[in-house]
Amino acid sequence: MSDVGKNRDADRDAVMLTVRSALGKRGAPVTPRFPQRMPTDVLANNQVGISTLLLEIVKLGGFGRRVPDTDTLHRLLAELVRCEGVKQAALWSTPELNELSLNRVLHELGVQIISPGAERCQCSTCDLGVTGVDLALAQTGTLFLRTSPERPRWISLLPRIHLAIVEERALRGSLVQALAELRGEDMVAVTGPSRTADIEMTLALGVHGPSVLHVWAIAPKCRSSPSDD
Amino acid sequence: MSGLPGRVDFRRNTQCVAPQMACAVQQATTRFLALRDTAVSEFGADRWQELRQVGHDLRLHAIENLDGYLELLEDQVTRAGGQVHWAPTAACARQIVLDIARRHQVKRVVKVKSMATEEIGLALALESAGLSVFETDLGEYIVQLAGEAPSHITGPALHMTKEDIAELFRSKLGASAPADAQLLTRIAADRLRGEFLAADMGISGGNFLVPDTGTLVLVTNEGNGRMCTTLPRVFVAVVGIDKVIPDWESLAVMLTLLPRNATGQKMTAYVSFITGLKPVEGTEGPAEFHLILLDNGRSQMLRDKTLRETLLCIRCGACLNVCPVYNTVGGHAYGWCYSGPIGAILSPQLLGLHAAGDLPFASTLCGACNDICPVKVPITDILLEMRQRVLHEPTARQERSKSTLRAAARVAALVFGSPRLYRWSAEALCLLQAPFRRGGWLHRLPPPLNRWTMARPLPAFRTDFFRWWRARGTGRSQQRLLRASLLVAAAGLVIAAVSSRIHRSKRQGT
Repeated sequence: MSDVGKNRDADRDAVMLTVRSALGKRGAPVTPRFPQRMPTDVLANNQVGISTLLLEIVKLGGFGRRVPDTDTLHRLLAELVRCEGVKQAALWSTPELNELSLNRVLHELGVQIISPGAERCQCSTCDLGVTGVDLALAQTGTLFLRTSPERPRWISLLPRIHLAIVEERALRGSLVQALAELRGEDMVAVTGPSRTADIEMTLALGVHGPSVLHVWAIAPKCRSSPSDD
Repeated sequence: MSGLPGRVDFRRNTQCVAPQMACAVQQATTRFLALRDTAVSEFGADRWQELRQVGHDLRLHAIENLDGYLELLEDQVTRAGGQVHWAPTAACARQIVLDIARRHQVKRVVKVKSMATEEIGLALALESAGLSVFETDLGEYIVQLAGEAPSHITGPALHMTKEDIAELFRSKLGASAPADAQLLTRIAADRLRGEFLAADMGISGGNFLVPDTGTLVLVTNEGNGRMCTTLPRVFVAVVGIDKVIPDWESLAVMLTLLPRNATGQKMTAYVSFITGLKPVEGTEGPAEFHLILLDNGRSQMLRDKTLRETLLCIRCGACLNVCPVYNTVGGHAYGWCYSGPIGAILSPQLLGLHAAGDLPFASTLCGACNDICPVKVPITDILLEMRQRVLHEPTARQERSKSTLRAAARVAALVFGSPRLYRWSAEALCLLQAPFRRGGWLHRLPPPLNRWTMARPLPAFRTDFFRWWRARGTGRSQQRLLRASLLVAAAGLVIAAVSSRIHRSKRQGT
């Protein structure tokens, strides 16, 4: 082991050899398969809807709202900007989110929009991050956010407020189902605001991630009739 | 924080546990357990048991087919754009991280709480190589500032009160704040935000590895895991080879079991699924992702069918919470990063019996850990097996104590064999105990008998012994015989207890 870390292949062979001899394996390694079926019924519970998701979010210390139409969406956004004193915001640039013209509303409210590729320091001072939700799991209040060039990781992490726009069609009945669809994606599952209980088991919200999480469940109407004003 | 310990002397460690430790630990563990119970009953107790069995089966399957899964994992991680390194020993792992750091001219490192990096003493190694290392989990940050070791797998600073932490922040950070959890958290988070932005390298462990897509799964609550995969230029994950699970379906099972059992959460605030970790755009995301697969004695643990089940552990920390021993002595007494029942079986296997042979005895074998384990690790079976191994390990100390024991037995046989000698020695004991006697008890005795009185007082020999002895002839012969045999039995018990105590303390002691 004198030239440790230098000879990667030797290290690899050393580990594999011990593993194989310890397990009593002979011949070329085969790719194993877990034969047992998962008790999907144990993990599934399909009888829940968007209200359960919002309820879970509230239980976790976030804020959940139903948004019936585009006008309400824009009004709520304006309210949020005013109440929280939002100066800078960043948004995912997915087509689904662009369609809601939140960019324009924020711009009209005088909020500076930070581009997803901005410098780290600028990202860090951002107040509001707006993201979509790729899949959601109602029973646990979990939102799955993929990572891609239009969906940078930092938008749901660095700003102190995270606003996630979710639609009913993103809901899945079980974790097995959600993970089967998102298999192999680079992503994050967000369940409530960033939290810790490391000091005397007292819950504190907002450590490294956002301290405020808003989840707005928009009705399909928001998409079909984009605001024209 | 913790490097490799020399020899873990559990008994000695328990003697320097601060009195407030047990109180703070019990407060935290009671809360953990209450939250867990709620989460499990909400999930359904029967469904939970069913899921535990599946969890056990899939973990065991993964461990028993580790070679195939590791090959697949390496292929897939490489295909996704990550770099895989293999570390047969802790020294190798440290060297690999240092090499990566050197190549990228890293100066500042941010670290996510991880048992694997604690195990290899990575933070210390990086610091002695001249790098600045910041623990970013709030609990770890606190113990790092205090210069202590973590005392619990999921709550590293649960042995400290908020007043301790406020004082610590005042002295170390110059931040004066009232002892309020929310405010103290804010102070630490603001400090650490700056460190994250300035860091060149992020280091984490990993909760699960899914080989078929080459995905590393990171379960956190605070968001520091996400920070490490978002801000620094280089991201390094040090993960034990035992963290492999068969597929994404299994991942759903594990993600259902782990947060509920650890903290009573249905899901932790953040679960990062890292597949290759390609930089996303412009400045975002690390340019390189290194996965270091750590063996460090794990492959040796696969040899024995009973002992290999130790590797099923997913580090939820629930066995610590239910353990009566852990709840009394806290985590530091176990002498290394792994504490509680899992530490009692894992540390001796990773460090060797000569170093941690005390730990399998640090248990009451009550079995509460077996019942709470989310993947059904048969902890008590493994404890018994480890105890056997410790006893069969020939050491000079054991040989010596064997001869002491033999001599003690001979003396006892001689004394009990002659009525006169027996009477004299009984009288002598009554006289000899006088200087040590306080009321009806002997609180302190000279060595080697002090090994007994260190733990509990010894009842004094009867005060009316002489009277009883003189009066013994007046009763009926049957009664006399009964009395005499009772006395002999009691004395025999005391001597046996004392000598076995001596024997054990000699074997484990200084």
